[in-house]
Amino acid sequence: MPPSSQANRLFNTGILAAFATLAFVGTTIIRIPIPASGGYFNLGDTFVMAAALLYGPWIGGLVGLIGPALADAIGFPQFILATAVVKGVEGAAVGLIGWTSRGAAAGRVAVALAAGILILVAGYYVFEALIYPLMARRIPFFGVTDPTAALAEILPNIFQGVFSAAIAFGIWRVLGKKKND
Amino acid sequence: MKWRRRVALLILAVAPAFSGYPLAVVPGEILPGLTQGWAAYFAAVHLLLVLTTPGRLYGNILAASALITLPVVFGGAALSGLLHLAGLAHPGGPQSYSPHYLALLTRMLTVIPLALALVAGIPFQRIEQQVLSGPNGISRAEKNLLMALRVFNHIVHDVIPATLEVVREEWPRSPDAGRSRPTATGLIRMMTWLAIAGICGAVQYIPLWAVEIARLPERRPGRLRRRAGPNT
Repeated sequence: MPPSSQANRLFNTGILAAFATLAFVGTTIIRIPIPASGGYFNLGDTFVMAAALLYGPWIGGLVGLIGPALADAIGFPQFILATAVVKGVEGAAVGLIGWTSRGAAAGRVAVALAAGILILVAGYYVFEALIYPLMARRIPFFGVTDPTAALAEILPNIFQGVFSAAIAFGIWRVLGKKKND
Repeated sequence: MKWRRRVALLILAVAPAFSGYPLAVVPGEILPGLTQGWAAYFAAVHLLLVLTTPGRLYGNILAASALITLPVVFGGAALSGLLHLAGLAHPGGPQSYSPHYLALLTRMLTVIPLALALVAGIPFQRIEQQVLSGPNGISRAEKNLLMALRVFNHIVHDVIPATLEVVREEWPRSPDAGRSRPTATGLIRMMTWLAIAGICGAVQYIPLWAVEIARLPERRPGRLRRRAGPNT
């Protein structure tokens, strides 16, 4: 394989590792618990969305799958499954809609971020209201939420998504332009 | 103790936290929210850490765990208290939500030190040196591992400390600073620039490392490593 192709692949590995580590740090350091459900508000989504907007759906999806889920391993292991799936899909969707090789318009990026917020809120609701209670019948480890708690978590998740998306949009405005210059 | 053995032991110790067994099976509560299973697990984990990690590292791990845990637990309890006072939740008062936070405190002070000891116990730089010193070149998988290790080390040891230093210097706690109350827009702007600084610091060397690592001699498939011996 020619060195330049291999260097490109290694570059992508490095970018994935960088954003996954930043998402892990962003999720771990800023944690505000949500009393109703035992979950917590965090800013890891910022780096998932930023990675997706700057580098595309594959990088965004993998960053979402790895970074925040690893953070959940520290203190909140019950949420690893939900976080890995929801944020992986969120990163992939934001990248699919909001990333193009030539640079997307601001309107398209805003739509992508809105889709990401929707996936975040709906995804966690589905997991906490339906999937976890179902799994808890066989595996008590997942008995941490119920439909009432999931409903109470919608507003904090919307707030988290909007706040993270606003920061991710600012990152895209600065770094996305520089990347395409 | 060899690092591989220590890491394997720590990974085994994490298993009850993830599976819930046998913690959920052991009956009885010492306090509301603190079961006998979790109390015993907490003690066992910290005994294991005392036996397997150097004293100074254990102290640092405890400090970092407390820094992560206490704001979460006390912040959450304060939020619950405010919701109760506002009549929005927890009609039963502190007795209704205290067990949840005691359980959270126990869980976090058990799992977080374990996770930190696990990460601290992996000698990333030694692994990097071992990968680089292979006599017959390195495989593509090892090249990707090398890149991930370098980036992780760079962020944890260089980018985060430097960013924290900048934050400490740029936002002093002087009463004469004359700073007005931050608005939501101002907060978003501040967090955006902090995130951009972190991203730039994290990715700045990646293009250089990608070219450097790509140029390392690659091990061809089927080529065996030769061990040093009397006739080689």
